[in-house]
Amino acid sequence: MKKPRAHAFTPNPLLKVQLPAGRSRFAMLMLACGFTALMVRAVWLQVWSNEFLKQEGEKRYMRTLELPAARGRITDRNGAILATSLPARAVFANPTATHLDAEQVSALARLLAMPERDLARRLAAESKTFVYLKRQVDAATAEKIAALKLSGVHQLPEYKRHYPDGATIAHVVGFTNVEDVGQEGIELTHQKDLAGQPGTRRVMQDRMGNVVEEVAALREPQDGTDLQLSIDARLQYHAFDAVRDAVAQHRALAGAAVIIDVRTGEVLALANLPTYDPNERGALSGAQLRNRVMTDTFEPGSTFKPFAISAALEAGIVKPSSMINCAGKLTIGSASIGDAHGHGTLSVEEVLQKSSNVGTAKIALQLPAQRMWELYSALGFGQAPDVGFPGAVAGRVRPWKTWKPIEQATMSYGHGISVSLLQLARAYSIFARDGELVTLSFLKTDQPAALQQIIRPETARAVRHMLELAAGPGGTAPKAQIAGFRVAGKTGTAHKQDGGRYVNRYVSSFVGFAPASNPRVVIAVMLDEPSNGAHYGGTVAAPIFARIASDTMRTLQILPDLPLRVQAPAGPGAPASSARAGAAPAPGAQASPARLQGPTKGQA
Amino acid sequence: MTRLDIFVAVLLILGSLALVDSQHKHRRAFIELERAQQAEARLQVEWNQLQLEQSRLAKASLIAEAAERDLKMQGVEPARTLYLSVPLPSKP
Repeated sequence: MKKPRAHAFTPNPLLKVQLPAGRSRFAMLMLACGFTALMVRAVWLQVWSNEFLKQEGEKRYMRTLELPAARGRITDRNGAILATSLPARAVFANPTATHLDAEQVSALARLLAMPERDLARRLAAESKTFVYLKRQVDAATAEKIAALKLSGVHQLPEYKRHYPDGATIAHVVGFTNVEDVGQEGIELTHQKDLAGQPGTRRVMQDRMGNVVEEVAALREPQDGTDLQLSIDARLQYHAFDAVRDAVAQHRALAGAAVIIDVRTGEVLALANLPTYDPNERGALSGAQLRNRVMTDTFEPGSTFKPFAISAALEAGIVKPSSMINCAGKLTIGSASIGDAHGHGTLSVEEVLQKSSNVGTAKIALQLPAQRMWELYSALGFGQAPDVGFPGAVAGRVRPWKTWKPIEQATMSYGHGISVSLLQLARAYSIFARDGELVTLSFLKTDQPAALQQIIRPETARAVRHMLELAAGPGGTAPKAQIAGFRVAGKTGTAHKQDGGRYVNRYVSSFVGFAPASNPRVVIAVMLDEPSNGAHYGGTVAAPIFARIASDTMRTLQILPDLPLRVQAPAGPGAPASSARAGAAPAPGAQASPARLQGPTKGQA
Repeated sequence: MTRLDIFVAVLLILGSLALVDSQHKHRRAFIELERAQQAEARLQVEWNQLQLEQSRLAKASLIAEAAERDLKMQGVEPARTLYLSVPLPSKP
């Protein structure tokens, strides 16, 4: 370097200062440390804390949404809705965060339809942070409440169950609690099928709360399955109406009726009184809840006689025409059996027709106890029926080895034994069919019933004929007759027990079937303690049977099996009258159903 | 070499823009789908409500009452019914 550089920097004396080399190295080291720290941090965040951070991020835009599932509906056999769930809201408050003035409280109380004082008390529970104000508020009201924009008052979605047929069918359908869980009836037994499985899904939400992307459907919501019952709502109404009128007319404690289709074993109607409205279950009493057809047993009385007689016919001990001396009283040990009205010598047929206790007991005593017991057991007495219903009772049939002769005698006419109305109705299917016992079902089915041959067809036919006589002019229940159809059935009038003694309070019953020529339904009716003078099954229960049977025949469009006298229609309707007269075989003639029962029979 | 670089860079930018656009469109469409599904659920509820209403109004007790009281109708009795037998159409 011979000469200075062309461009001359201002000579800075500082530049000439030689700094110690250690300083720059120190600075370098510090920077290196800084970078290393950053790198470690970066690795830490991106490798080790990766998961955590990802979750934190997702928390800001990912949501897990609950997908509600509706409870299945219950419909009758024709699809009419018996129970359905609709969205409702639970209104709750956080009392610590609620500051409402008097006006707001009264507006809220009005919407919730509850007393202001009650509401104010709930809102005053300062120590709590969550108080339900009202559950199962319908959607429209809930919207109005939301529009009030009350601080600290919020809503949760839930479902409310509605029962359009209400009290008429309450005992079959049952009801659910506020959590939508079945508590009674079909709602309870089929809880598993009816209950839906709520689903969940992960979604991405934008700032506005819109779902912009579904990340994953974690679980699809499963709506509960719909159930179609065997019940026919129309028949149910007829049965219920008939029982309700009868309970009022005879001032009875309770009443019940059941209709069974003997071809399929389906229960078409099951009416109970007293009843309750499943939509308003504020104050329910045990008496209202009791399903008297299934969960109550009673001593059946004379409705039980056909079983002992069919056992005797089966065993060949008697024939329908065998003569039995039924006069006076039958004394066994210290007890004696008598009839309400004295009889002379009766044939077996007449014993059932006139419902003679003495005659039935005499026939039954010729039977081995085991044989009678076997028939009762085979018919399902003493065993809980397998119908998928909560609380179906077994009734009581003591083992035959403990039977004393007097007990065997009283059991033959339905005392000292207890059964439910449903068991009784089912057992009568052996007479309605040719000796086959049907399996009952509360769900609609197209299959023919599962059958069990209990007695020989000839025996069943013989007893069916006797039952038709019993429901006829010379029998105990001529009031069971209906226009156009042959009916068969048996009355029962049983003393009730109170404290182990029989008292003068009664259970009146009637079990029968129609049309007798080709039975389609078994109808069983019972009234508990009719106390308006009459108490005989023939005067109390038989008319209920007649009314239900007649409505059933009409509703099911069954062809009459009795000759009918064609009437001129009353009142206005002359054109219809002439059309009828023209179409009838001859004016005033008897339309023979034998001729009319053509191929339509299968359709009916 | 440089030209290829620019071409690829432009391609990349275009691709990225297309990706953003399609993502956006997808989300818009998805929101619409969500809304439609919510509407479906709402209509389903309404349908259930109407069915319930129908069941309530078509209750046998209401109909029987209206028929007997308001319309003065009477129950059909077998004695006043003409039963015709029609041969069933034979199924092919």
